[in-house]
Amino acid sequence: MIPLSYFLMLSAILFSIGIYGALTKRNAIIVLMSIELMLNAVNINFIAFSVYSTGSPYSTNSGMVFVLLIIAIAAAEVAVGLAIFLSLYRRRGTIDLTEIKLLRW
Amino acid sequence: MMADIDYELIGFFAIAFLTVFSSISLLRARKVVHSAIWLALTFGLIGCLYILLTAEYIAVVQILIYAGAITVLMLFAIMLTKKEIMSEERRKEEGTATRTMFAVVLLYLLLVAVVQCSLDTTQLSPISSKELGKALFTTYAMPFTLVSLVMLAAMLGGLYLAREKEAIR
Repeated sequence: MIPLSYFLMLSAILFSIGIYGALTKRNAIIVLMSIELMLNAVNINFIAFSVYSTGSPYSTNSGMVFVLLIIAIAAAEVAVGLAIFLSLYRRRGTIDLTEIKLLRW
Repeated sequence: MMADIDYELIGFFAIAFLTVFSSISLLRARKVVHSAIWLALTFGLIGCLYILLTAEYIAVVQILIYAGAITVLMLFAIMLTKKEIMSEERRKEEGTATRTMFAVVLLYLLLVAVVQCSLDTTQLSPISSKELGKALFTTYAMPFTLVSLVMLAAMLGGLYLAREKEAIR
């Protein structure tokens, strides 16, 4: 049997890889991929806690419902994010995040 | 008597190793298209993890939406933006060390938290897809409906943002 903490550790590693990519990469599409990776790490946590919570007073299936909602929201986020990148690319000719600093300062 | 080999644990370690490997390759790939393929592999492997967790419905949804739809959407976006940004040249930037430190410290803190909590229960209580469906249409009917509205708004917003402005005039 697999202990619950193994899943949590894997999720922590994936989340850190995602945050590393989101902070250091310059291509906007790769940053979006890293954000998706972080969302997936969170989903693993949700499912693991939901399945392993036998006998606890919070033993419900709400973790799984949460994951389904997160997947739907993530799909919406990717659709809007990529549309923004396409529009940005048409206007500025680049999606390099070090070049796009209109909203930063 | 031979010691019991825990095939489930071996499978978990294999999938976990491959997941971490493919997510690191995602960030190390030189071409963005390769990153997208690694992303699809990562999502598929995470779907396998869900099967190990006895969440078969979520696994199917994961493979359909993440490995299928989102990866294809990413590939389309990559191919619609110009070719020269497709390969990421490695240019040193100031602040990269600080950001890497941030990720490493976060990883350390998360791992310490997980180890300290000693959540080593191995007792699984599978939740059937039937139960999940019932909950989705009774207890969680309202959020479920609202998510469909969010999807509609995202669809319209995506269309509006990505259309050619000149084509309309």
